[in-house]
Amino acid sequence: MTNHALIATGLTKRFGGVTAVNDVSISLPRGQVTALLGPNGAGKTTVFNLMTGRIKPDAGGVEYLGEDISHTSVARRARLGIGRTFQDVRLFPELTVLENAAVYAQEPVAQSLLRTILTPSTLWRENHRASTHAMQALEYVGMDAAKNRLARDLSYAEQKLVSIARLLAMSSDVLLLDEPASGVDDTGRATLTALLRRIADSGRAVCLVEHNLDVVRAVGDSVVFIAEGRVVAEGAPSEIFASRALAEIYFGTLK
Amino acid sequence: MSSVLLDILALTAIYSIVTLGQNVITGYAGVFSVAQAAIFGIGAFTYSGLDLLAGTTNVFVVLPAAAAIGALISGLIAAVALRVQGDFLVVASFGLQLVIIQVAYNWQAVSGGGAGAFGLSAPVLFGHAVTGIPQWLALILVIAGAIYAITTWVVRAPFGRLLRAMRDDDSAVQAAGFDSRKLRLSAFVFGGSIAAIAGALYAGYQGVAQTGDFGVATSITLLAAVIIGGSGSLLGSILGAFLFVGAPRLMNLVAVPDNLTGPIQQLAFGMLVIAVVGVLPGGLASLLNRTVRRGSGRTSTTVAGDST
Repeated sequence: MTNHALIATGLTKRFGGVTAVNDVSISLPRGQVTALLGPNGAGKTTVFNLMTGRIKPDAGGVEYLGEDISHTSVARRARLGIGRTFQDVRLFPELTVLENAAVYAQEPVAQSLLRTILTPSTLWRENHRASTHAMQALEYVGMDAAKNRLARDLSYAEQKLVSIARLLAMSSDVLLLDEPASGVDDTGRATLTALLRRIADSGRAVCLVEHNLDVVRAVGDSVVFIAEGRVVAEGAPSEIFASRALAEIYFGTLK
Repeated sequence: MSSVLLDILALTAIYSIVTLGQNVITGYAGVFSVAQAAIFGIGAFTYSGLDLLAGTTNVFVVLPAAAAIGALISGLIAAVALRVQGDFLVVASFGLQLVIIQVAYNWQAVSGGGAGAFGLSAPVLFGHAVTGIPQWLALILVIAGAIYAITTWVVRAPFGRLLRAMRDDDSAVQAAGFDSRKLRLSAFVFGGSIAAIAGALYAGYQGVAQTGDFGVATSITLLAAVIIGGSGSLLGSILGAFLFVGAPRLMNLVAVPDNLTGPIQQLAFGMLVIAVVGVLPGGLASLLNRTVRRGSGRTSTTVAGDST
């Protein structure tokens, strides 16, 4: 039985005369880590942006749990359960680690000024609930001890863990992670791969854009190889890594 | 205390409310709007309009009316100005500030045109006219205190956390499932409604509402008060309002020959502002918690592998 949380079909995006993403179809199964691999500029981040609604496709659509979400906003898709991190992390630097996660744990009522003023007790409880939820997410990624530090004082590896904790705090069902291992040292990478495995095993769908092949090999269940905006190969990491043709595309022509 | 000092206290309290509103918009939501004085003015003209046209200065009518009209107009300003960003937003809000004051200027029945609306009635509270500085001060301080308490809650509640998060990174707030445009609009509605309440108090207290008090210079002063006081610190807004409104009036009390007062005051004041901007990037409020934060430093320090 296929158990796909998110299915993207025929995604196409043109910027001016350049077709950045060309008829890309990707299904993200629950319980698995899918890695998007490909040379720089292949269109991997653009695929994420299309899946999250940050940019609108020229053709193609996105289904989540069987529902067409092609025309919904970024915020709506996040509410439905599609969470994403950014290549440049984008924590809130002047907020503490706990607050960073709590923002993602907050229910929509938090953005109502009227409810904040007229029903303070509801918002007080919401604050407490969000903080508790955020704390659990930080414990899950091992960043609970840093809860009171400002995000701007964290190391890069720590920031990446907090960015993943934010998605867990939001109870995301699909996690789109944009280069989670870049700029992270060996120890940090081991922690990260173990964490990604644990998240996938909990029944969520995880999708990585990742340049570090060791990470893809360690944690990827399947690889989607993208070049020049097209899916050129799909399969298990061992199959993809065995292909000389793909290696040439990835590393440039080998002597 | 002499009535002069009470007067300074009353004016500082009124301007503190307007500065708090500007701080929610600028210090928390991160929007550099220079239209706050126009909303302050709308509150004053709501007072004069209700007095001159409807014959009422009942506190329970004029203050809610000012809050509602201020919220509405500030929301409209946001809806227009927030279509653009950065420098363009500053210029757009500046234009709206000019338009609003020009419309008020021409609505002579309410604003009295260039001369201003003079001889306004005192506000009525439970059937009694509020007259005399002590009574006034009590009314202003109670309202300012209530607004300070509400604002404190708003910025500490999940709503305020979202505003600060949005100031830091807009796209990450959207990725968290929130509508950042609506959040910014809400900040304007809140900041505008309390500014207009302050404006109604101001007109009632002075007995005058004139467009000259609510011009571009006042808007810039309010923005400066937020930054000098401490962006994102509510206590800082009160310090900022005191520095720009209370301190110059206090300096007037110092016995200096009249022909020197003006130049000395301006000089001392200008130097103080430059000193604060140069030495205290966190504003005056950062003096208060300086000892607490001294150790943390401003650079992003890396604590080697203690959490992985």
